[in-house]
Amino acid sequence: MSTIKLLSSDNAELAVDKEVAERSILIKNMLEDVGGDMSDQAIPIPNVNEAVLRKVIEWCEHHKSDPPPPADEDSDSRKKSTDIEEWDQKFMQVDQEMLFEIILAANYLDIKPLLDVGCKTVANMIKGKSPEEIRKTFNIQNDFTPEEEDQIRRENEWAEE
Amino acid sequence: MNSSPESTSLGRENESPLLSLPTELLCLILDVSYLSNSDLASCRRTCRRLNTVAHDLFNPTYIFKVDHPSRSPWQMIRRLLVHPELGKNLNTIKVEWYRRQAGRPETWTKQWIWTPQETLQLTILAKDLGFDEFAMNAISYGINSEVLLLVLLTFTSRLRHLDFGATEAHIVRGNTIGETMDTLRECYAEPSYFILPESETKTLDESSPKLRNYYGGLMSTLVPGEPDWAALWFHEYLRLDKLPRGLKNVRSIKHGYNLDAGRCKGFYPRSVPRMLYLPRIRSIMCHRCSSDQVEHLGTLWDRGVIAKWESKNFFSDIERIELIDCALDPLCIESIATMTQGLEYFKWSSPDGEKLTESTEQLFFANNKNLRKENLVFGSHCMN
Repeated sequence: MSTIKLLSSDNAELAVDKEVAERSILIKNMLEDVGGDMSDQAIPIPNVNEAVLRKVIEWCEHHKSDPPPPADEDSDSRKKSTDIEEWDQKFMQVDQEMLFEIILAANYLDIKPLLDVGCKTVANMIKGKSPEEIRKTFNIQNDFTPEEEDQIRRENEWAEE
Repeated sequence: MNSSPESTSLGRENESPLLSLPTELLCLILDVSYLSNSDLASCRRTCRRLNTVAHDLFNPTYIFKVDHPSRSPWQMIRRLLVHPELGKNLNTIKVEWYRRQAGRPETWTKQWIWTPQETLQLTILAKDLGFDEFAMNAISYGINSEVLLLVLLTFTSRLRHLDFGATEAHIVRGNTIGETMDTLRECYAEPSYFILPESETKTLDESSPKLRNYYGGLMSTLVPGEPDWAALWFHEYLRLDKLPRGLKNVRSIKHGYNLDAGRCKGFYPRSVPRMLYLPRIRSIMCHRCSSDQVEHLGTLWDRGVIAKWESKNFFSDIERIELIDCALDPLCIESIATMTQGLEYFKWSSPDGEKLTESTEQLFFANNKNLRKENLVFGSHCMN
């Protein structure tokens, strides 16, 4: 099995199985463009640091034999629920900064299933919470004027009826 | 490098890692398939940024409870008069029917009384919208809340889906005129609305001209059309020249009919071609848009409407029509074939299993290039 090298934003070189790295559509397309032979040259991943890249690779490693995600965005299986498989749940037990770094990296590297797991994890942190609890959870400052708050509360009445 | 959690939170006092995400990713997280409307509502109330993102994903549904004892439609219009912009947030309206029932006092929803200021506002609005005095009466008498749909549908400029549920046009479920009048009498705040003494509704015969006269007079203040053929205000005002403003973005309409409600036998089928006139309509589903009076078929469909359509060379882009258990003149079906061009599915079933002529079928296929043979369905009616 061929191995390729990835270069993180903080200049760490990581060796990865090509099959694992190809969970990233960005890398897969890149390899296709250069004809597949990148054995002696590291691929630069300028938006992702070493710690995050290791984490992402760990995920790809575990999911390397998953079936490819459906191409059609509308009819896919990612809709519907916030259920997350157990391994992924454990994988996502990281501090918030890392969680959002993973989401950004998954988006940049175009690893849709990982992006979904990340988004679902955040959605689960929102579910069932009051506005104040959401602010606490994500360190959000309330920047509304009392008038704006009032206005939104009224608009929300439709949803709560 | 962050050495300790304290320095992280101190150093980033105004920075939430969630809010540092680009908007496209925030949209993915706040996806309606993950979060409920009430979760989105909570997000909107946290801060400006999440409010902006969640606002567009927010998918509010309003349940319009006709004549429900809570009188929620009346309260909703009261709020709307003060904050008309609220109507813009509605995506879906579902109508549920809670008509008053003879002999069941818990269903006898009390009359709604507007303030003089509200009455004035409503009168100005009604004039602006071209409502006639009958509609304005129905609004001010505070009994038949179905009329308020007309008002609501003025403000809902972003409404996508309108589901009428199993409609009940008649405002009281009861078997006789006397029962209807006795029920309504209990609901009025001021008995002066009633000119017929209680004793007389009890003693007068159903067919007595005096009783029918009073009944007709009372009904004309509450419902459109003939007292025995109660209609919905919505249908009365689904006029080609004056479609309610809040319907301009509607994509789908569902319209059913409550078979158990008695007395009124169906709704005017002429409303169906009028719905086709809505500029963004893509799907219509109707149950029992029929007339049981055969001589009304065709006339109710409104030949005038059809003629106007054909002279205008009007084509609807509607994609899907289902008319289930609808007794309609085949002419109606032919006119649908004439006036559509984007149909992908058409189903008609009638109580007596009427079939289309071959020429009508050909017309469907000639005008609707995307209509496949198996998607043009006719059958005898089945209630599913």
